[in-house]
Amino acid sequence: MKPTHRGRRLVLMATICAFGLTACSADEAGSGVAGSLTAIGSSSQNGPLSAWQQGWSKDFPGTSMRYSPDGDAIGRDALFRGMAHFASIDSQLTPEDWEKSKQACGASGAFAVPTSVTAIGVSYNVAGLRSVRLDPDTLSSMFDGAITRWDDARIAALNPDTDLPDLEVVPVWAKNDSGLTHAAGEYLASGMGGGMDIDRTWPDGTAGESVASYSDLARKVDDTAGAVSFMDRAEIGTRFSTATLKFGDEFVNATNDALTTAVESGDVKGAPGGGVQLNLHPGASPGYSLGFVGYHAFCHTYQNEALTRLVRSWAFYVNGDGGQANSTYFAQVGSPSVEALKQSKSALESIKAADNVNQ
Amino acid sequence: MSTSSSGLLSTRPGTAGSPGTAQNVTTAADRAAAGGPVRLFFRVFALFALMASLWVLATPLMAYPDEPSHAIKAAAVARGQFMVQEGQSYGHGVHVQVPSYIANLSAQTCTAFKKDVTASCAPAIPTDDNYLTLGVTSAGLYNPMYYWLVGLPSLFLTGAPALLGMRIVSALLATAFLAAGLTALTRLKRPKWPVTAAAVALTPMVFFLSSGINPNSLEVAATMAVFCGLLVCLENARHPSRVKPAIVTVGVAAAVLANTRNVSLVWLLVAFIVAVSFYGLSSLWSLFRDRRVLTAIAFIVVSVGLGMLWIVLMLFAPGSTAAAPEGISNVVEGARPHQAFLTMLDRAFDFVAQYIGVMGWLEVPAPQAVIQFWSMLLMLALLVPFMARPRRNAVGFWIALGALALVPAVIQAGLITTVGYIWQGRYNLPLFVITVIAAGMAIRFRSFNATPGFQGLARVVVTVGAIAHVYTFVYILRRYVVGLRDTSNWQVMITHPDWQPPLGWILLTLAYAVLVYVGASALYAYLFSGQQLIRWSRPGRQGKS
Repeated sequence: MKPTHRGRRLVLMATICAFGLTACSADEAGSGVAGSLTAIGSSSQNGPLSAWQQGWSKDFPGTSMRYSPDGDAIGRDALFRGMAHFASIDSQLTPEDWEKSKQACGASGAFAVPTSVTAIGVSYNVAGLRSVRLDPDTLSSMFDGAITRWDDARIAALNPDTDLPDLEVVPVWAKNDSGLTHAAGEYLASGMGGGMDIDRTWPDGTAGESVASYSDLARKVDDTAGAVSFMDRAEIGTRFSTATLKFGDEFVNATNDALTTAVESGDVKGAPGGGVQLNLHPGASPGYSLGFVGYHAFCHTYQNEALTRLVRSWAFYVNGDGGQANSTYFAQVGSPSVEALKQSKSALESIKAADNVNQ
Repeated sequence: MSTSSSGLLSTRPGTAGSPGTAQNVTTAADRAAAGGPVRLFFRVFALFALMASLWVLATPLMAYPDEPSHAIKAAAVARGQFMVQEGQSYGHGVHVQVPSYIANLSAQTCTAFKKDVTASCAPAIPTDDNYLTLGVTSAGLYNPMYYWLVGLPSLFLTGAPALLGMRIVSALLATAFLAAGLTALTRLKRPKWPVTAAAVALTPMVFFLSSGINPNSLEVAATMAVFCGLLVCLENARHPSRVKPAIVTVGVAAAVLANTRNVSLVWLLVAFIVAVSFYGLSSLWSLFRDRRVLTAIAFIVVSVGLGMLWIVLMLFAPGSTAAAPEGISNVVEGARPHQAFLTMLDRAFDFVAQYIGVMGWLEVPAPQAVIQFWSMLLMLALLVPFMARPRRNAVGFWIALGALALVPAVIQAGLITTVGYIWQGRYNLPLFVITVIAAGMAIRFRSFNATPGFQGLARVVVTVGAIAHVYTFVYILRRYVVGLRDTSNWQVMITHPDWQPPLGWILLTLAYAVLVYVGASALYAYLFSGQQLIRWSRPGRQGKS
């Protein structure tokens, strides 16, 4: 698949930013923005948050941001209690969330916009086996214990010209609640067999071995011959072999361009509180649609002009080319679709100071 | 010889100190001439406070370890946020409401861990950014006493002046106790070796720490004051009325120490045990007969009770919603408590450089020459107790040394499975100060020989010690003015300074050098009955004049 024009543009932009050749700021650069933001949210967003923080603080030197990756649910709760200026979460706010948010955010409550797309790869530790082909049903069978050997006939059927080893399949999965698990479950459910009963955690009967959290997965896979695991692509890097997965009728490698193609074909629609929702089509073509969308949840109103200016500078930086380039380049996450970013930008315009709202 | 001083920072005309007459005993006349302990205290306090204030100016804001967290906690406590409420504690710390410019202090930490980056990287701190907003502090569960005092300037000042004010309050607190400790030691019957040891214990690191917003400084100083005051009280157990200032020192310092940090109670206990081991339990019982002492004890008991009450309250405070994220927590998978204990014993000598001087966010060691010189002094402090006669005089030193090695190891072993290896040398400074002064106590009955050879050697050591203080000060300034990198040197610091502290680095260095000279001269004159550290006129002409 050829690199997309947009993908090339983001990489070029990130390179220019990285070498400090220009200020990769949002529209509001140089507008006297100063202060500190406090955010709580998903640990899966740690990488992009760090990339955005570096770029934002470079564009606005009088700023800082403290992010505690305590989890999606804790991030939402902190925002609703007024203990965070924004939350970084793995899925869109629900109508119940929006109601709860009114306590800290005022009558307009909170809203969330997509900020990143984290690609998920299926990594494995089988010596000599490269780009093995797998589909949702085969993977479901591996994770529910129906397939126990790598040379199983169902895997062999997908890889007719490949010499598969006689090795035990060891699914490795993380116990913690995560948007990554949810996305993996959606992909498995897209097969003919309907997948496994997964929401945000793996079910009790899952085969193989578990670890406490996703940050422990890589080491476990590294240490376990025959291991197979769903993993953040940034975590996989060049460390593990990655499966070529089936989407629709196509087998697709997990590349930036394939992810971008899938993201651009995703649905963009409204969400509670005036937010924006981006839906991928798990298991469907075109492109590589195994991933999850990360969101930032903001209040519509903040207590004063200075704080509002600060929050807006962050929000527009993340939404803008500079921020998206930074997260793509440094955190290896994808961008939301052009349409999603455009609608998000409109939604972000609604962030106002409480004083102005009352006028 | 012209006029000189015979006591610490005394300016009275001294008796001509003929070589060989100085003894390790201060007479009543000496003490009276020195103007009494209160006057001496204020002189030493003034000197130390000025030195610490120069460190306040020389070190960029937020360039002390964890200073933003402590400043945020101080501003919050000064605004009445003493306790942690439900839903305020998260993985990276406790969320409080503080002025925006204080919440944003981590923007100032661009030099942290980067010794090649100059302090010009930090953005200006606005003076009009005062609205209350969320700030995060990792010191959220600490005892609020220190923070309340230090946070007060933020109630009526703003921007950098408020932060400098907070630092100065912290420096005044710390140096007051350092001065009280040193003053107390001069009240001993044989004070010269203990005072000498105290001078060794007052390393460049102690003065550096004294000027940042961090209760570590108060811990060190209050521990020294408690320990030195206790020594004097115990030595005068049969006549406590002679050492009323020392009783006050012990009472106040112990009360403050018990309410500084949780672990401070351990330092208080060690100071008590080591001091009693020098004079025996009988002296302790004798002290209990005095009404003033009993009043001080009652005050200390109430204060310790309050300190312990705070610890219990925080044990039951609403917990964090999550474990500290990576970078804050340092858990080593598989490390067991006994392994951590043995590792800490292995590292005992690794911490010595941090006792002497590792500044900034622990990224800038003092110059190697200073580390080596002070290491020599500390090695001597370690060895001289072997000369103690009778040998039981050194028991207190060995207990202190054992505590310096074992207590941090035990504490670290207890923490290894929850937060990993977190111990730093600066945490040991309270025990370090006790140990070094205990070395002086162990040999206090040894003659403080005033032969010309000994005086000459002492003159060299005191002078080099003074130079070491100044050299460290200007070296740390260099780190912030031009950075420590291959292309920056002393010449660049003069010709192309990239950052300047308030008043400029040259003026600060000159002022610090003058203060250190005053202190070193006073120390030397005290040890050798009015002798001058530096003879401005040749001795041969002295007799003729």
